[in-house]
Amino acid sequence: MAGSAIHTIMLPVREDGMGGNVLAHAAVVALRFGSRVRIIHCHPRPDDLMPYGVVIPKILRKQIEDAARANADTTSDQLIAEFKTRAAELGLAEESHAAGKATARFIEYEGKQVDAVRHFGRLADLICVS
Amino acid sequence: MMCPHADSVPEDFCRHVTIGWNGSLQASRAAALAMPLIEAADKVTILTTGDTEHSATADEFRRYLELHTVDSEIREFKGRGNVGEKLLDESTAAGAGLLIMGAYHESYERETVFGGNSQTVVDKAAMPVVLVH
Repeated sequence: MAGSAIHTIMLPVREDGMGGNVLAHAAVVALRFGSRVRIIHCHPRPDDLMPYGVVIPKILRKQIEDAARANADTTSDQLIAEFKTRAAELGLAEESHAAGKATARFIEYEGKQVDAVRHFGRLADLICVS
Repeated sequence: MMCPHADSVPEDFCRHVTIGWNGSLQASRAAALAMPLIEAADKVTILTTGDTEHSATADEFRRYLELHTVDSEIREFKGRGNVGEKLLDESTAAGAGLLIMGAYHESYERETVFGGNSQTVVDKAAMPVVLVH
């Protein structure tokens, strides 16, 4: 039964600088099979950043939440720009409905990377990590 | 697929594939799920210690791959217990650009604390490895 293919590749990324190398590997596979690469940017929910077991005043909680959102927005814009450039260099087009074409799409995910893998990974044919 | 830290993707990535085979459920699922990569490879090598009592042998696995129109060769090596490092060494010696293997036959927690094949591969791999649990 030759001719099976990899249709979807999931690539969870965060701001650790490792994503570019993983994307390069994913692109080789995607170009071979005409796969769709889903780049999932994971950033923590503000609740996950709260110190555990410590009473936090309301004003400090709000500051942490605001800082987390601002940081997510900044890093997200930066990462999207970097990955779009890199994806284009590697020959991946913006995601379209054209079947059999290697494409990439950037998706924001608020939560832990392990939850992103649970959400998107189960319907992916391949999950690429560093 | 675990991608090693490198400046670029190796040229032989996905061209020559090695498959760790011990007849286990994890190894068979790894082969089944990674079949597109196996079918697309120019060369496929089955790595085995030959220790597959009461399960499919490497030769049976080679014949299974033939049904998928995949020609492969068997490379047997000596190893007992933790053979994770041996799988990596043999893959490198065979000139492979990708290793496919079953993973975490033991639980992740147990492997992290006490070590095991999968944890050794995760810690030491310098080549891309497809791990299937």
